[in-house]
Amino acid sequence: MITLKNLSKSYGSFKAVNNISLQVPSGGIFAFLGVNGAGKTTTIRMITGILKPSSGSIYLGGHDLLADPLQAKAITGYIPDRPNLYPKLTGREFLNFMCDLYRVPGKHAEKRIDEVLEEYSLTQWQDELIESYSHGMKQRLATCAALVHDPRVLIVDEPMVGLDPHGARNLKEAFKRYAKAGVTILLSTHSLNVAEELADNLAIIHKGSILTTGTLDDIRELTGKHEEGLEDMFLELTSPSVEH
Amino acid sequence: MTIIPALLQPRLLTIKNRWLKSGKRGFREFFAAALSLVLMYGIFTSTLSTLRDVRQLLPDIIIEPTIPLSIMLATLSCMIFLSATVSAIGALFLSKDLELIHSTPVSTGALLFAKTCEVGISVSWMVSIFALPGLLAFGAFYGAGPLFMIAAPLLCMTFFAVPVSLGVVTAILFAALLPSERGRPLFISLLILVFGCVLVFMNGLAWSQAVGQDDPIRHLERVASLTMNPWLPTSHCAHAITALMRGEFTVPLLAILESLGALSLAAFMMRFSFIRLYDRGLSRTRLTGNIFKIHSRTAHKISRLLLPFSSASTRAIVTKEYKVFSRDLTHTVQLALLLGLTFLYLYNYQALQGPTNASEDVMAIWNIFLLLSNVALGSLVVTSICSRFVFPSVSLEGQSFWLIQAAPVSIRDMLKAKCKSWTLPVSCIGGVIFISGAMALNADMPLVLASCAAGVIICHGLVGLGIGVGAFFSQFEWEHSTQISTSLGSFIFMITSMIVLSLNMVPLGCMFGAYLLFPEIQGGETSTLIVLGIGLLSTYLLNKGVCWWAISTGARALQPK
Repeated sequence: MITLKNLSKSYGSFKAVNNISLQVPSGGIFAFLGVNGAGKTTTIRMITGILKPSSGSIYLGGHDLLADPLQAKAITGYIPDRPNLYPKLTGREFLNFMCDLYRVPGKHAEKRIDEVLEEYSLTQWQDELIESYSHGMKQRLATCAALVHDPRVLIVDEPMVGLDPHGARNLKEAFKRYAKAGVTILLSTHSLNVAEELADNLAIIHKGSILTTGTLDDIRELTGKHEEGLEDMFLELTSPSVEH
Repeated sequence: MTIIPALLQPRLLTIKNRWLKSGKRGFREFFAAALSLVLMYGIFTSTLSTLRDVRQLLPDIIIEPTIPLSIMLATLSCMIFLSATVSAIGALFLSKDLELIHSTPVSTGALLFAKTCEVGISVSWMVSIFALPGLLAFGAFYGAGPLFMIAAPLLCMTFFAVPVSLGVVTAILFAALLPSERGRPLFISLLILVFGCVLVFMNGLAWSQAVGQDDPIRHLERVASLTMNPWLPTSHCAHAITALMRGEFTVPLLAILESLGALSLAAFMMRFSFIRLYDRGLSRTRLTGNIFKIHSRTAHKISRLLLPFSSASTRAIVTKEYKVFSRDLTHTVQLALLLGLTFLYLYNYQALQGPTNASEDVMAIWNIFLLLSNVALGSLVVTSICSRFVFPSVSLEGQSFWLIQAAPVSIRDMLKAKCKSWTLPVSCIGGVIFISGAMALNADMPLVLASCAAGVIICHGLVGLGIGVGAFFSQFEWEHSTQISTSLGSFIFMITSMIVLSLNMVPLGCMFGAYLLFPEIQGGETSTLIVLGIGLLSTYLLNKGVCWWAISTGARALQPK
């Protein structure tokens, strides 16, 4: 569902992402792990069309993002790590705006908006300006906006930032439900317990390059640590003393 | 007092980093700054050569600098006051750094002084570019010494500090008395006020036409001499600068003392209003939410009804633009002040009646000049409106711009939707200005209609240019939204607008000229239609081309990098 081929991004002489290739299968949760500054967000921003790759190609649901960006974006939803939304719109107005941008037909849009607002407990706040929302509410609204057009691909950057334990639990449950329903979720995080709990497959990025990719068992096999958790394996793989 | 440079430091470092560490964008800003210097030199040399030419052509006439200087000072004072009011609302009440500053041990006095300096710098640099070279050219023409070149700008600086302070006072009063949650009712009240003003103007027009015609030159003289009223500080300052040119120092010294006195009074008012009202204003601008509920479902249905033939994405962007605009406090203030200025402009335009005792040929040329100047001056008013509202439109997306980037909407379509959303309101304002101006000039009905059509077409071109240049010089990381309209990009927009307006004068000049100089064209309906049609079509093609070019350039600049 998501294919990255030899993807690179350079800023002058600095290579933020260095020739990465990935294949994310349909209908599952794929965790994209890495320490701060490893290149996760740069890769995510390229996949969502916000940044242009220096080289390489990106396919979303078979659509080439660089050649056919509108088709590729139409099937994608994106939840950023910082929910910068339009503060002078109400929650409902914002979701209507998103429905129009993604060309969701009128009546279906109203129904979907009601559904997502209900699912993320924002119904009673729908007519308030977003500037009056708390950080967690904004994060939930950004999630609603990413889901309102029923995307086939969901790109999520650090999903648990700013959520309270209830919100975090609800979101994790929701991700599992969407994956079961056939949505492909690419989850970028440095929160290893989230990845361990949710991901079917994962990739570890370090200094702009993919260190390893596969299921948790594949990575255990690779590191030879059959009994240990993801945290130990991740720390070993990304340790500054290890030459890659 | 050492805290004040510390408070100003982040702004200065941001500018430095934008220039030095932003790659292409930094180069763009550097280019704009270099262009400003070239423009300053151009204004200096052209003013000087014009003054020399006039002296050569009319050696018996003594050009007294006091009147043009006082007009210039009065105009600039109004502009600075307007910009300072808007900037002060942003800097004192809406800036993102306020929470950080309020949590640090900074005294209210230091905060007020630092923010006033910030406002002063942000509003005065553009004025300096336009006014300083003219002032120095006058000095060079009258053979003023090097002391003039230092003393005159200093005198102007002291003088212009007064409107800056008054702007800050107005901003504090505005924020404290008209809180942000009342933006929408205020906006509606303003619209009603505008219609009222237009009605009053039309009545005034009818009255002035009924009473009879005034000699235009005398009327202009009267209008110009208004700025020489001894009660006005502008006239004192103009006299002081004139005295400086002659090498006298007593009058300038008195003017400086007078300006300092006025400044002290303004500073006292500023401090007093700050101590009394700032906290109230700040908390009111932070008040959101439960004051009134917005019925989002109804609003969305209305937008669907009003924009039935637009694509969903265009409708989304147009609706969002209007909603955000009507809820933004800074926009409301700017609109109020700009509409006030527009009304003053319309009122004063009645001065330009046709001379009654001239020959037919002179009459025709005078009328062509008046009709062109109606379109040109009206377009300048529209340009100032666009620089405040249309140019910042793309940058105002701010950190929410990722929503558009990640959505299945091309940047070009987004810019076109923004252009559509602004063309209608700007054309409405422009249409009123152009029709009123042409009616005030007592022009024939075909010319009134042609002026209105030309004005609307020019509005479309200017809006497209504003969106395109705004996209090219977009800056999404602002501290407060009012910074955008005082940026270098806004300055470039003004320069390009002047070029576009000059280009528009060619087809319109031909059109008005053909109609007024050849009576046989006025006689026949078909010939009138052909002449006006060709003129308007040429204007349309020119402005459509400008709009297309600007939006394409802007879209290229905004593509993911």
